[in-house]
Amino acid sequence: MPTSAPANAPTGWRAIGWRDWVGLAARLVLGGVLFVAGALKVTNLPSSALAVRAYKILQYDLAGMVGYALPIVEMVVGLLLITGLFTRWSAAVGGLLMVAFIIGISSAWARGLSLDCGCFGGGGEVELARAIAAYPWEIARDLGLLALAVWLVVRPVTPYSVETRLFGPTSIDDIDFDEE
Amino acid sequence: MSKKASARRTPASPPATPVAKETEGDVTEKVSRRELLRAQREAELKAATRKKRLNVGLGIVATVVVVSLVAWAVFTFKDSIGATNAIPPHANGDKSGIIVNPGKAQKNVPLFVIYQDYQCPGCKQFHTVFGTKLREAAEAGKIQLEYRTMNFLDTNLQNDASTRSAVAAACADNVGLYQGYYDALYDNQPAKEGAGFSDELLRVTIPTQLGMTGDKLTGFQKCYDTKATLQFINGTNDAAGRAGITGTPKYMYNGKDITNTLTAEPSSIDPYLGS
Repeated sequence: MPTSAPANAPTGWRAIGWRDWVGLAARLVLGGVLFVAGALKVTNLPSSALAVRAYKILQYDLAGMVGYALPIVEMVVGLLLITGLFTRWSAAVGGLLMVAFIIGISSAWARGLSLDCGCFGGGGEVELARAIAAYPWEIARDLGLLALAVWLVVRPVTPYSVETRLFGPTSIDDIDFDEE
Repeated sequence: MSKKASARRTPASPPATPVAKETEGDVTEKVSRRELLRAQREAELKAATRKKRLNVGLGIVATVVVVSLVAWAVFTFKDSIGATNAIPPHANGDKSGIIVNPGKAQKNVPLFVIYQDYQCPGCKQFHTVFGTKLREAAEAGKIQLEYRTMNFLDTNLQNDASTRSAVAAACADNVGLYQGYYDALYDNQPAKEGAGFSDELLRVTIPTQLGMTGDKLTGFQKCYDTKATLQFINGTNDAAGRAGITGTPKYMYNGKDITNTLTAEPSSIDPYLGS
């Protein structure tokens, strides 16, 4: 990223611009939604497996395994995004999840299945009218989250991330330079 | 990718003091040596950071994989450990359900299958509308009738009533009272979904209503108490899932799902009850 701040910026950091705030918001919203979605499902993993199976896209056993892994992956990626660790990779995984969800919901809609998406727990078959009413909103929500993920993949540097704190300096300029 | 990302975190400002001091003496040589050292240390730092990030990243990925696999294995196999596996006498050939009218169906009659869960309110509604007609057709041998029982609602409702009731009904097949027990379960299904069935209802009240006494009652209760048919029930549930059933009830006529063609009118099932 081009650094817009003057070289004599007080902390050595460039000043925080609007793009940084967008990045931070993207991190917190995408991370927060993923973490909550995972946490609500992780307490009932067999139910999550049923929800994935209800889409009838993946083979039975594979769908079961995805159902067990998904809430755990969502929670971990959510935490990484909230804390600002491996932001680009986490956002990429989050974005891929959104793409998968959008495909899954669209495909269920197109095939005339009446599903609760199971995004935040629950899932399985519901009344057709309820399902049809929910599909567009679910897809719109996931498109919005996908946009946030894309932003973070393109521009992963955000303020208030623990990346540097945890992994230490990547440049000598980051540490006190008091030799001689 | 990640390397670039972290490199971008580098502050733009140059180190404050050292450069400024280099204004006297053999400047050129000192500066170039210093720069070399600097570049070297910079590279070392970067390599160290990259290694650290890689290790932590791989650690996170490995943890996620292991935790997911353990969770999957625990939930998948916990029920089959140490369980007895009593097959009800009238189980169908692939053990995916129980034949309701064994030995009664005439030759070449349609196969009528009901996928159901005793806690499912829709199943009770269908049972109320079509139960009598189905029972009559099955008794007359016009159809072969099979109930394929699922217990998946336990997962969603977070209780174990689907499993306990299904185990009990399968135990009732041992004493030839499967259909009666099935009917009694729907008659006693609580109005509020998820309220479940009490042990007292399943092991005493319903059997007594059905006229079980003496050895029959003792045998039934032993079957229920030891969950002798649990593996069978988990098997019918799994078979239904593999057959693509993700919701109940599902009424199948010769393998075709006719659930959505049925209405609140009992006669809507007539075309499927054989001739």
